[in-house]
Amino acid sequence: MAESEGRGFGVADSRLLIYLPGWAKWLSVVALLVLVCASVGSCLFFLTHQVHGDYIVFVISIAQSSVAALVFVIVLFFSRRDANIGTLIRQSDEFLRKHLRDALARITVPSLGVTGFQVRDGGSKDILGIYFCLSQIN
Amino acid sequence: MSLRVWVGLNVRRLFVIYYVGHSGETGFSKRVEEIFRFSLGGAQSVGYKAHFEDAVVDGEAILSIWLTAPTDADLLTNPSEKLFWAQDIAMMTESYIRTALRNDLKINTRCLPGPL
Repeated sequence: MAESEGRGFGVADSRLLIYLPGWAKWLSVVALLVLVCASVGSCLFFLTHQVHGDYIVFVISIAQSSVAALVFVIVLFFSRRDANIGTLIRQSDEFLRKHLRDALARITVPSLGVTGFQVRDGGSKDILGIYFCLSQIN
Repeated sequence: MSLRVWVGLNVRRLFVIYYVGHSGETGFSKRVEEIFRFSLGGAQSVGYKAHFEDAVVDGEAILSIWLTAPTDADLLTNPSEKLFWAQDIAMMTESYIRTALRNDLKINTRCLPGPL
């Protein structure tokens, strides 16, 4: 059965992630920043120059929306939930080289009096793997 | 003592490969499979599949024990999944070492483990 069949979307389901290259993310953030600055600047200008009418309501509405959108994209794009190929490769490396390595170091062999291992990262080998060399520390 | 192990992660599929030095005896693969029946059988309960294959790598006769397991699709972004699989591989490796030592298997091969 296909993975996507038979169940709904979980909170952390990868199908809910947005896959965008880095340049597109930064472009979105910069565009929103420009919009925030322009709308807030316009608000301040209208308020300090006693300009009344529909313009100020419109500009305040734009400022509110763009600030909310900026916060949203920052949380979405730069949180650990973010995913693009570069990020996934970096997270794979982190899983193997940090989390797995730390766990392997805690292996014990009581029959030999081994209370832990020094785990050397032997480097990448083949397409997606790493070999580790475990040596007893005592 | 020392041991070398190869671990790979293809987004949502894990690979773990151990090499055991081959004794040269007939039926060695079956004997090793039986020796690890309990420790690797436990790993199968979380989804690992174990494969055994005789080979000669860099002039050294070995038995490759190749394990694969499907993981959740969000392994790379979910801390609890990361912790689970990291500790699970470590526990499996610990059981592998202890079982091999009890049965006088050579687990420190000259050649580096990896896909055959």
